Amino acid sequence: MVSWAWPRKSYEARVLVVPLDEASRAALPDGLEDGLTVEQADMVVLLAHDLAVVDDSAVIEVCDAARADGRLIAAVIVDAELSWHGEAARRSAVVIREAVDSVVVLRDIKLANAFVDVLRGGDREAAEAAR
Amino acid sequence: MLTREQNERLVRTGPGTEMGELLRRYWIPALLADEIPEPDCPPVRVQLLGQRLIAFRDTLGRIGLLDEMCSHRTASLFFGRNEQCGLRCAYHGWKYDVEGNCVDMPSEPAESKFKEKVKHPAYPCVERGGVIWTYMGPPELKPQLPELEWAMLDASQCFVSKRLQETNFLQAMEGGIDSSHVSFAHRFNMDDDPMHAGTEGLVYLKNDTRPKFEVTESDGGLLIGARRTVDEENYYWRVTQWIMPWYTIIPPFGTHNPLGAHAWVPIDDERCWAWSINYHPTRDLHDVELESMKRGEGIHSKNIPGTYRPLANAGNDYLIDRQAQRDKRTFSGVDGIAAQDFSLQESMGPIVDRTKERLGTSDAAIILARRRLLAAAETVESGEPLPGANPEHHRVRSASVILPKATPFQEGAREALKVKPGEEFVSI
Repeated sequence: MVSWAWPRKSYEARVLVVPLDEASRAALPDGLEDGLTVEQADMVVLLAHDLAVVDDSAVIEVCDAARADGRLIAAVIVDAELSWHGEAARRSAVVIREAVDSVVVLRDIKLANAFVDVLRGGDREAAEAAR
Repeated sequence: MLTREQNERLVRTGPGTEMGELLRRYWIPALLADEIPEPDCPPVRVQLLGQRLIAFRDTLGRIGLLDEMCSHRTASLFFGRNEQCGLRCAYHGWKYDVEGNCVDMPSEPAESKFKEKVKHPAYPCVERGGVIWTYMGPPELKPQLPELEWAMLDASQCFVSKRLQETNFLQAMEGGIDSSHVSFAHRFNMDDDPMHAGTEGLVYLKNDTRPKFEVTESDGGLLIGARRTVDEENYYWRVTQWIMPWYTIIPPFGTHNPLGAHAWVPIDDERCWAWSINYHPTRDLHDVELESMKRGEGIHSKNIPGTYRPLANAGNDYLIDRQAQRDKRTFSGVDGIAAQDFSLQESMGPIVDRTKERLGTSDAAIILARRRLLAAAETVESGEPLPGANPEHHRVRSASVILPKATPFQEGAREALKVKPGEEFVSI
């Protein structure tokens, strides 16, 4: 009989969120580890609101470094219309798609923060209690 | 992963629970229409969201879904007599019509009007797409009838089956939106499955065995895109629909094969009905397809005759065949796509402890589906319209398409993802 109460805990991943534009910099989720580098992180999450202003070379640089270190890489794009517009944004979309493992497109930042929180994992009871 | 409290909120569906109240705001697939095939046929037991019910078809063909226990002494109406437009309890003869009105109370004096005071719990039902649907929420908030494409087709264009799954509904449903498992659990079945055979899509699948996933919100739930590289300019996309609270539509292979869909409906907190549907919007299903579906192939299951319990079940280790596993005829050793899914899902226990899981970036759809369900549950008391309750949210299709790399898949496939009655779906 399997016991459902063994003392197992979810590993708490070190998640580095990389804002790709000003709006994303202003909307970073709470509770992120200060000073975390790509080399130290388990996962790298790119966060963008406006793909048109994203620096593609920075995306490539971060993702290449993360990939070289075996990190998981995701991108979260926040847009009220669940889309992107214009040639620059389309170019960046391709760069991001090629560079990351999965992409999430959401209407608002609240859901994006919840997504990052789940990726962090760890002891949720302790995290809740600490808040 | 979730906190214990979040997990409890998601998996408990009985009366008065947060998720239970949410799910009761939707039309619920309750039973197959052919379980009560004709007027005055035997009543059948139905359990939904932890409630024990009894379904019957009265003399005029109307469908009743009543609380199973008689209002009088709480004997089971399963033993009742289905006669003359009502179900009569075998214990003392109280009789109820399909609306729960007590129409006869022979254990009391004939002149008594007491029967007029008794209203037995009853839920409205409608028959559509070979399924009897019920609504168990507040009458004033009853949504419009479901308009999922498969439910609107002629009977000859659709095949529906159900099976018992011994897990919480969410655990089963999460399997349906977990696109990354397909490359493992079903790895060696794609060639054999007639629904995949002879399609260009299968070639892309084989050429690129590590799809990347993209998930976006839709009005009714989520769109889950799995993409593979076709060439320098294009991706091949397979787009799954998740429609709240429990429906999925599987991406198709070619247009000559039928589409597939599922629904996962709680029986109680530790069991659910897994509904599986194949349908074709523009033609009747062929005899050979129907025979295969009736045999429990493809997304359907081989059940113990006369029941909805799979032949392969926990009691026999799902008939695991280690030689087939070694020979790469099946990845897990379990035969059949459905059994491959439910064997693994049931192995997690009846209610998985989500505080112990460790999700990764490929689990985005699961993470977001849970959040959308929790968010909807939080608004249920307000009486506001819910995602997935509007028939507009049902009139969607899955699709498999080739799109330029820069195109948001939800935009590039927008027209392909809409139901166009009588028109072919879009699939590679």
